[in-house]
Parts: sequence; C-alpha cells; structure tokens
Amino acid sequence: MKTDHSMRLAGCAILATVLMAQPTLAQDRAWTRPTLNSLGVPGMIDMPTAHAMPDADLSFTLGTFDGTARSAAHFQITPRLSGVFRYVYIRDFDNTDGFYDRSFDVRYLLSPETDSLPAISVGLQDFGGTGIFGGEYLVATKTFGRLRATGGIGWGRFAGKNGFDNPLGLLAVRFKTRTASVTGISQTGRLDAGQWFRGDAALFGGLQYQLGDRLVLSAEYSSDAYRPETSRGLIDQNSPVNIGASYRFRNGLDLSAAWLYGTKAEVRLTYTINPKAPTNRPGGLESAPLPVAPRPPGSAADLGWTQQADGAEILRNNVAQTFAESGLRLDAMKVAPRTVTLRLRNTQYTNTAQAIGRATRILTNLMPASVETFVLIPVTAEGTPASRITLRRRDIEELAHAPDGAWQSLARADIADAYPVNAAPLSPDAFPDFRWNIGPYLAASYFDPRQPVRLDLGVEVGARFEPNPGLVFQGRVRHRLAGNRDELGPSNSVIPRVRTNADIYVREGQTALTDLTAAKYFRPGQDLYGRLTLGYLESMYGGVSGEVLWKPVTSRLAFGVEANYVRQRDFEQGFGFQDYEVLTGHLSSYFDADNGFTYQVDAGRYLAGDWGATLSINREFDNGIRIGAFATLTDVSFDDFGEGSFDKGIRFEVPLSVLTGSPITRKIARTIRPVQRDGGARLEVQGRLYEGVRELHQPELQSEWGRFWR
Amino acid sequence: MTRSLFPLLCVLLLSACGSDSEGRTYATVRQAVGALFAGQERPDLRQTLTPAFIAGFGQPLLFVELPDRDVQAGALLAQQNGPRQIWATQDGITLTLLGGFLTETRGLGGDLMSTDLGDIAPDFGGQTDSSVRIHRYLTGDDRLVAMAFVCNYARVPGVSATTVAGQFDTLRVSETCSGPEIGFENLYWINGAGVTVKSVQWIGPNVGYAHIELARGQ
Repeated sequence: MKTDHSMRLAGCAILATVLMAQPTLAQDRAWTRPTLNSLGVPGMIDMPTAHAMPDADLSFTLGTFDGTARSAAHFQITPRLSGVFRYVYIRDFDNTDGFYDRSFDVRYLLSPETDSLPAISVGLQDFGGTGIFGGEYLVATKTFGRLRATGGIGWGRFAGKNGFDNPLGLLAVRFKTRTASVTGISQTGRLDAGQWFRGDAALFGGLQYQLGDRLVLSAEYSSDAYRPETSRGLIDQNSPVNIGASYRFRNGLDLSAAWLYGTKAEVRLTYTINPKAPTNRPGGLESAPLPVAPRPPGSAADLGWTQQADGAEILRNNVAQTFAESGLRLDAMKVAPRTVTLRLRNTQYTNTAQAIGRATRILTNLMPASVETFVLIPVTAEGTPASRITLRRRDIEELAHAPDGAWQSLARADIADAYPVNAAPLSPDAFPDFRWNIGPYLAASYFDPRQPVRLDLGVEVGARFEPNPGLVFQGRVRHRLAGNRDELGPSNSVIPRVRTNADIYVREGQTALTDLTAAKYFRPGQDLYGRLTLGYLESMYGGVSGEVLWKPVTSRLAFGVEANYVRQRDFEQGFGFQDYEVLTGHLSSYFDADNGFTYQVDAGRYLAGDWGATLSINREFDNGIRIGAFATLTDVSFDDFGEGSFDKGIRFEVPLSVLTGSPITRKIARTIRPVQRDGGARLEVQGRLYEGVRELHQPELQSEWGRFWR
Repeated sequence: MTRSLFPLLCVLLLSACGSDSEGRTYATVRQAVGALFAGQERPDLRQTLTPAFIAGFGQPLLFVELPDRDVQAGALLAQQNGPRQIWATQDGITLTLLGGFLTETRGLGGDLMSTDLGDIAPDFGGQTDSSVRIHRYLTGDDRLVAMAFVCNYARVPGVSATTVAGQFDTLRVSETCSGPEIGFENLYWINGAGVTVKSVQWIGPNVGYAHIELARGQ
C-alpha cells in the first residue's frame, strides 16, 4: 500500500515536471542556489535534482544519521560541469572499527531550465563503479514559482526499489545486467565505465516548496534501498518517502533536517563559498599607493642632475628604500639621462601587475624629469629575470586617472623577454641576501582507514642565502613535537617503496634535515629558463636535479624537460642515504587557457622506475585561488599499485591575501590524495621553473592588469 | 579535539616569523583578530574639528565620514594638479576629487577605481541637466567591471549649509543617478567662489556614501 502511494508521488512529480510546462513568475530569486542533498550534490534529501550550482561555487556538506556520517565537497567546475569528492563513515559496516568510503562524482547539466522546459542533468555517482554508492541518474527539475518538481530515472544504487528492466536494453542487451560490485580494497578506484547505466532502472522524484525567503521544504520518493546497509541490518526502511526542511542563513550556511525512510532523523550542514568573491572587500584593504607625480611642463629638458658624480647612486638608494617600504625589492638599477632600467622582485602582492603599477608610481616620484622611459624587469623569487616591461612616463602621467586607465596602460606597455639581461649595477643592499625564518609547521595525512586525518605539528627553521642573483643556497630543519602520522600503517607495497615508508620517516626523523640544496637559476637563451639543483632535495630523496623550460613571454604554451638522479635518504633524514637510486624525469607541457583553466601533462619516469604520465587540470581565479585535480597512469598494474589502483587527487591553493584582505604573498596549498602509494610518485623539488616564470609573463599579467592602478 | 585545535593551529601556522616577513604575517593575524573585537566607542571627530582648531591647523584639511562603515577621518592634501586633488588620511586611504566630484578612492576595499564623469564636470553649476557617469570597480576575482548611470541634475540657489568650518550660503546641486541595477543620489553644496564646501557622494555598492566637508581650503 505504502509503496503504491509513494510511487504515485514520484509519478506525479515526474508528470508535473514533464507536462506542466508553464511560464514561471519571477519567484525564482530564492532558487538562485539549489539545496544540496545528503550526498552533497544539488538535490532534495537523498535524491538529486537537476539544477546546477552557480558557476565556481564550492560547497562543503556534513551530515549525520544513525551511525553514518557523510561529508562531501562539491565544486561547480564550469557552469554545467561539477565534481564531488565524498568521504563517508559507517559504523558497524564490517568487522573493523568502522567503514570509510571515498568516492568521486561528476554531474553535467544537459540543458538549463527555460520557460517551457525543465533543467536536465546527468550524474555519475561514485563513478569508480565499485563502491557502495555507485549509481547513475538522469534527472529533470522544473520550477513553478515557489514550487519545484523533480523526476528522474536511476541505475545502480538508484535502482534499489521497484526496479524495472533497463530501457537501455533496447539499445544493447548488455545494458540489462550489472555485474555485482567487486569488493576488496585492492579493486577500488578504477574507472569502471563498463558498469555505467547497466542493470535495472527505477524512477524517483519529489517536490520542494519555498516557504518565505529562507526555508525550503522537501518531500521525495527515494529509489535507494540502502542495500549495502540494510543487508547488514544497519538501517530499516519503513517507507520510501523522505521529508525534510532546509534553512538558508545569510552567510552561505544551510542547515537541513530530514526524516528518512520513516525511521531515522538526519541533520546536515552545508557551507557554500564562491572563489570569485572570497571576501566582502573586493579589491583588498591594502593602503593606497603613492600617487603618480606629474612633471611640471618643460622640466624634462633639464639634464643638470647628470652632472652630479654620485647622482645615480643616490637615486638607486632612494628607489631601493622606497621599494622596501612598499613590498618590493630592488635587485639592480641603471639610470641614464632618458631611461631607467631596473630589476625588481615582488615580495608582497599576490598580483604581479599591482606590484608593477606600484613600482611605476614610485619611479614617477623619484626619477629626474628627463627620464622618460621606465624599463621594469620583474625577477622570480629564485632570481630569474622573466620579462621586460617598458612604460613611457608620459603615458603613465596621462592615464593615472583615466576612466579606462588600466586597459589603456596595458595597451601602451611593451612586454618582452628579459633576455639578454643587461648588466645593471646591483643594488648594494640586495646582495648578498640572507634570510631566515622560524615557525610552526603542520603536516597532514588523509584517509588512513583507522584515522581519517593524521596531523603532525612541530617547529621548522629555515635559512636562505643568495650571494648573487640566481645562486641560492637553502635549507630547512624540522623538529616534530606532537602528532600521529608515525602510526600510519606499514607499507604493503609490492613495488619499490618510494613513498609508502612515510610512517618510518616520521618515526625516525624526529629532528630532520628536510632539505639542504644549492641551486643555480639561469637563462640559457631567448625564451629559455634553466635550473640546476644539488643536495638533499626533499625529505626522502637527495641527488641532482636539472630543468630547462621553454616559455616565450607572450605564449600560453610552454614545454619543459626535467631530469633527476636521486637516491633514497635514510629514515632519520640526516646526511646518509639508503641503497635505492633512480633516474627519474619528465617532459612537461603546460597550457594556460584564457578561460581560467590550466592544463599540464608530465610524461616520463617516476620514482619507482615506472613510466607513465600525469594530467593536471586546474581552475584558476585571478585573485590567485586555484582548485584542481590530477591523475597519473603508469606501467605499474592496478593490482601492483594496490589500494586506489592509480595515483590521483585534488589540489587547492588559497593566497592568504584573499582571506585577510591584506597583501601578503603567502599561500595555503594542499594536495589531497585518496591514498598515497608508490606508483606514479614524483620527486618534490623546490623552485621548479614554470609557475614563477608564468606569473611574470604577458598572459598572466594581462589578466591581472585590473589591479595595475590599485 | 581536532575541532577545538583548528583555530589555534591556524593562528600558529600564520604566525611564523623571520627576516623575510618583517612581522607582516604577524601584523596580518593581529589585524584579523583585532577586527573581531573592534567596535569600541570612538570620539566624534566633529567635536575635535572646532573652528579654532581648523584656523590654527595651517594646511588644507578635509573631513570625511563613511556612515556605512562607521568611520570618520581627516584627510590632508597629498597632491594638487589643476582641478584634481588627492587627499590622504593617516591610515593610508586616498580620495581623489576632481573639481569637487569624488572620482577615485584607494585603500577602502570595494574602492571606486575610476570615474568617467561625462559632460557634467565643466558645467556643473550651469545649465546641463543630464549626463552619463561610468564607475569602475574591482570584483572579488580582481577584474574591473564598469557600472554606467544616467544622472539628472537639479540646482537650488541660496541654500544655507553648515560644515565643520562654519555656515555658508550655497548653491545646492542634487545629482540623481540610476543604473540598470542600482541608483544613488549625490548632493553638493557650492559656495560663491565655486568651491564645493560639502557633499554627500556615493562611492560604490560596497562602501556606500561618503560625507565630505572641506574643513580648510588652500
């Protein structure tokens, strides 16, 4: 009886979605962001809906009911494509302390809602295909003022109740069957496309009603029978109907509660931020720049200052001092009667164009009136001159307050390669350059089956010495004070244990020399950049590393080659080595698309001697926030690789400046892998060339130029 | 356990020091923490800016108030170039006035990056009764966006205006602007010499209005 009733609800919802195609009133403002369901995707309670989140929205969901905790991160990668990473804990699921399941979803909005047609989305849930959440769906949602109706058809986990023969069986007989889930940790992580949309299908649906401005009520008919859970006696289902409510706070927080399957109560929190608007103070809070100082008419003819013997030196000292007060560093400067050429580093601003803009304004205040041309050569943090930006002082004076001054100044700037780098007298304060720092560090390991997050906390001391531009000696020592990363499970790897001995490194390296290197950064020729690093390169490897990068200043494309000969370091991370040594290296191609996406392919030999390639895709915002994913396939078989089958993960980077509103170049960067194994593992070398060079080149400067006058 | 540790860890991670940071990281953290506990009573700057104080001040001074941010400040003339004046406060905020119009701000967050005043600037006190304004702002992901407004002007002569500097007989100009999504109304009080002695001008959607009074001219 109950089932009949519920089926009717689903049927009605689907019918409403498909047939009641009427123009909607402008009630949909509150629907700007759909609610997220218990699996962290746009949806009602357990079932998905079809609308997408606003572009770039990043949402975190945490929900719990009766021995189950589900957490998920949902990222709207493009206006139509989104990705989910989910981490679920189920108590008493098997004989161990608890069951942790990691899964990835992708969703695609096939067509957005129009006046007459519903939004339609397709989703692949846990598309590895072997996890307990594996399922696919096609769902449609239509808005009728304050009401939203959803209907869909699902496979796999979504075909748990009242399943029927797969309609796709008409296309090919193989769709009629779905092989049983393969369990066992070694089988996880494979992309099992052969399972998708196979086996029985079932219908689901529901209604959402918006009550007032901030409250959404949901009722759904769920086709999820929770078979893995019910078969273990963990969850009872009395009814396929779920009801719930979501309250939306102003700060991006949603609080939801639901009554599941007539037996369980669920509570869920969702927090949504958009990296395009990370703070409520767009443009930042840093103090105003020095204004452009216009020259009095006719003053440019006065060359009297050139007669002063120490004129150039005084000017250089003035510039060095004012730069230092403004978050810039002067490496070298050469002043001629009509031109000044200087090499500078940005030590403070996330945005390079802003640093260039500030340097330019300082020069208008300090340079004698006859100096008409400013040549600014920004240098990477490692000391490589990467571009040559030529600005005419007259243009700067003219455009300082022009309504469209940013773009006009970009149009009139000449951006060229810095090669060959002319000899300019070094700023006396700049070299030799010695820096040190002391502070806490935090190291994390994720998703250990017995402890989802493991942390180590300790003290780190670092020092860096640059006797002349591009020659860098640096080292770091860490002392671990507390933590539990040493309790990570011992390695069970069947290939060389190039990364899975992490627990031993932590245990034995209480005080560790993390790295100690000598590096030379140089320009072998036009469009070419070079690096040679020697020493203890990272906590697990030492040796020699060399890299050459080809990157024309206006190009969005770059190629690099890196070769390393390294030996595995002793566990205590002193000066000693173990026996394992390997020649590892990659050919890399980089593409910086103008839609904010960056692509990188690294092909070559990894630490375990395995051959393969890594694809990384990032979405990058102009404020410096980056969110991306990567995957590596090598000739290590899925079985030999072990848990996870191949190396993959997500990566994010958030400049501190976007969190605090104050200019500071430090970033929070984290790479999160479902599991760290030995296949597809890459050497970590500091000072890889591409990122540093790219941010001083034209495509990047151009997209940042809006802050030139900030 | 982990949850209660989290904020502490964040602060610790941010608080590294060394030759490089020059205390900047620490200052950033302190600022962020300070901001949480801000909001104590501040004295009204208007009480300080008495006519006697202003007379003895000895250099140009502008009084600025941002009601939406609940701040007041005195600004000194940092640069004058023709009709353009750049006023700077002690805490590193600048306001650029072009013949009395606020055309740029820096250092506020949500700054007005530039203004295209259209046809109105040369004939502000005259006959022109409508014009177009274009403002530019930085977005959260550092792109410049332009907002265009159509503005209408109305002038009322012989209006008495009170400022920190005293009482003036002024021409009051109201500027009513509307754009596709947002509108604002600016007010200017102009004395007989053509100097804007007082104004209420909209900076932008993030900052709101600025109340500006010329405490002391050249």
